[in-house]
Amino acid sequence: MTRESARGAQRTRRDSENPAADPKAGEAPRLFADQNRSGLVVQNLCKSYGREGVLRGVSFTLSPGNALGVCGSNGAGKTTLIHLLASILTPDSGTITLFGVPAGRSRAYREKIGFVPQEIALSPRLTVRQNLDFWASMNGLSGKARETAVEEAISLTNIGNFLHKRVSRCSGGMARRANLAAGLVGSPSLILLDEPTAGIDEDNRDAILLSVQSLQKAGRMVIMVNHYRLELESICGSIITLKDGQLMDNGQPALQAQ
Amino acid sequence: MLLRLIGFHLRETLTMRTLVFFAAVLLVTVFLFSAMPDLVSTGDRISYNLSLSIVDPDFSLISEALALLMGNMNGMGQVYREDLETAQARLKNNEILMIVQMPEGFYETSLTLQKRPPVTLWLNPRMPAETAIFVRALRSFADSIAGIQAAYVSFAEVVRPLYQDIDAFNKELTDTFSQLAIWALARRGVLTTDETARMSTPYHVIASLVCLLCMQTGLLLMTQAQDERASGVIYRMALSRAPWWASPLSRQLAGLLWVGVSFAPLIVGLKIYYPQARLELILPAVFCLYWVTSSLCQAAGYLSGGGMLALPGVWMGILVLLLLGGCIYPQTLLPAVLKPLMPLSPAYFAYGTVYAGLQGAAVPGGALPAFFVMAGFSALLLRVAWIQGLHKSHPGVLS
Repeated sequence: MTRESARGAQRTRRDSENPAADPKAGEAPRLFADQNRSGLVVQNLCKSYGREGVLRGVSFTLSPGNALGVCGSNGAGKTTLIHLLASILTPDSGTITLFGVPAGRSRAYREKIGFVPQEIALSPRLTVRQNLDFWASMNGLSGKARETAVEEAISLTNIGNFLHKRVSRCSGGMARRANLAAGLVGSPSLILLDEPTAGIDEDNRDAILLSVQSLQKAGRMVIMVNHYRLELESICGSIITLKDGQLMDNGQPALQAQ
Repeated sequence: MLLRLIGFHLRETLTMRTLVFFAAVLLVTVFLFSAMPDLVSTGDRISYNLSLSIVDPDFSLISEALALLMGNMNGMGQVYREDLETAQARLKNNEILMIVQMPEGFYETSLTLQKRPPVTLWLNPRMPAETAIFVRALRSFADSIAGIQAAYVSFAEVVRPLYQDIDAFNKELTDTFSQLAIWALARRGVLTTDETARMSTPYHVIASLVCLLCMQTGLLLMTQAQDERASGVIYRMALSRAPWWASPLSRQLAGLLWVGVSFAPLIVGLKIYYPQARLELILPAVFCLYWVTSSLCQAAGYLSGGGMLALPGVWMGILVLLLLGGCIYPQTLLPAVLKPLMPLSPAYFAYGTVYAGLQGAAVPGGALPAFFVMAGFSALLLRVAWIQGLHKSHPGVLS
């Protein structure tokens, strides 16, 4: 992805769909025009660790083919949010539904999730291709279906030129792209990216952002956590900022602003 | 899916660490069996050259009795009766375990109602555990002597009116006491040693090494569990179709293969040197110990993430379990305060079963139920640790 195309993606962002612009207080802020088309609906999500409230009433929606950026400072609740969406954590209150399926340990929900953690969650001793095959198997795919799913992930992330390289011998950027590909195996509807561009060079970062754009074009929903708002603006249709566990708009909690 | 996971973990565990582990096990096995002829020839002895000196200026009946008793004790080398200077030189040269120094006139005083002067023990600080058991034996001996003395004094008081001549009375008493002491010694009634504690050094060494090597394999799995959590693979596992237990279980099964490979030379050696050894007992004991330890180690790995202190911490934990199991010091040498805790260690039952298997004896009672209880507990702990590892990966770092 060139910088120009990334900026182009930024220009397509619809500012009018800012969560703070939702006229009805208490409802999930609509990030996209037609809530009926929303694949992901998050309502009044709360999570605390002991007495410490990490998320306090977070609500938003996301439609297929769109990308949502989540930014905020350290401890703002970004990772907790993404873990809740991945059903790794359970919310204290509030709901998450994906195409009408409530979040939880059910197969129906989890098979729609593609989670890409910040760490390189791959075996360093296997090649990139072997890793993708392995995770396709873990997702219950076999034979032709597995091959198709792996090929699709390779195509979306454009990692064909180092498929047979051991992950331990890949550069940081290559490993991150392979990590992204592993999260895409099985055609998930919602892809959760936890700082996918952390610590990599510009070329690999552009390649990852281009992959995110390809995912959007393929009708997938992408939620991308990042510290850097500018990077999110270059690719995401909308951005939410978390501060002290709440959605913020111009320094004020978004829901209060409504 | 499980087969694929086992293959995955086999490749994951086939690292330099594993190869070094194999090399170490092979080295220890070769060393063990090269030393085996010496170990076998020494027979039923706790260890070599456990000797002591008795210093009795009177060379009395008591020191003679003590020398006779100690000389007959299991695992005892020489019992010297000599002067203090020579004995101290031996102690300094590490030739003896201790010096029992009786004061002058000890025997004479023992024949009266006066309080006996104390016996001084000079201990060898380089062999504290071995010394402890002999000190216990001496205390038992002293109690026995006190019992004989009490009987003797009571006897003297009762028969005193029958004697007009005090010299004749004293002679009769001395003869009676001597007879009583000799009778007690002949019946081994003065000091009884626990015959069940008789221990075979080769069996002890083999059983201890089997437990040590088996438990060490758990460390390999612990580092893998740490990596799974630290690399975020745990998330992908959680979201995949594999149930939570599939990854730890398949890792344990993969590790079992490595246990089999590393133990193969040891088993071959046992077949050669100990044809009476019951492998049908030894192998399940190894399996059970490995199973419980590897679950506990994986639990520690999931809990610790990439903590630097995890490996030495778990290694210390394994040492404690080995100590409680009697694999470091023989169970009879452990302090009384530790003995009630011994059944809490999986090594305790594994050691006992391997030892019994080497002797060709039956499984010690309670070993099988203990394994099931420990396996259940370790599985529960593993589950809790896995959930903790999933939910608390890098708290506060990624936010």
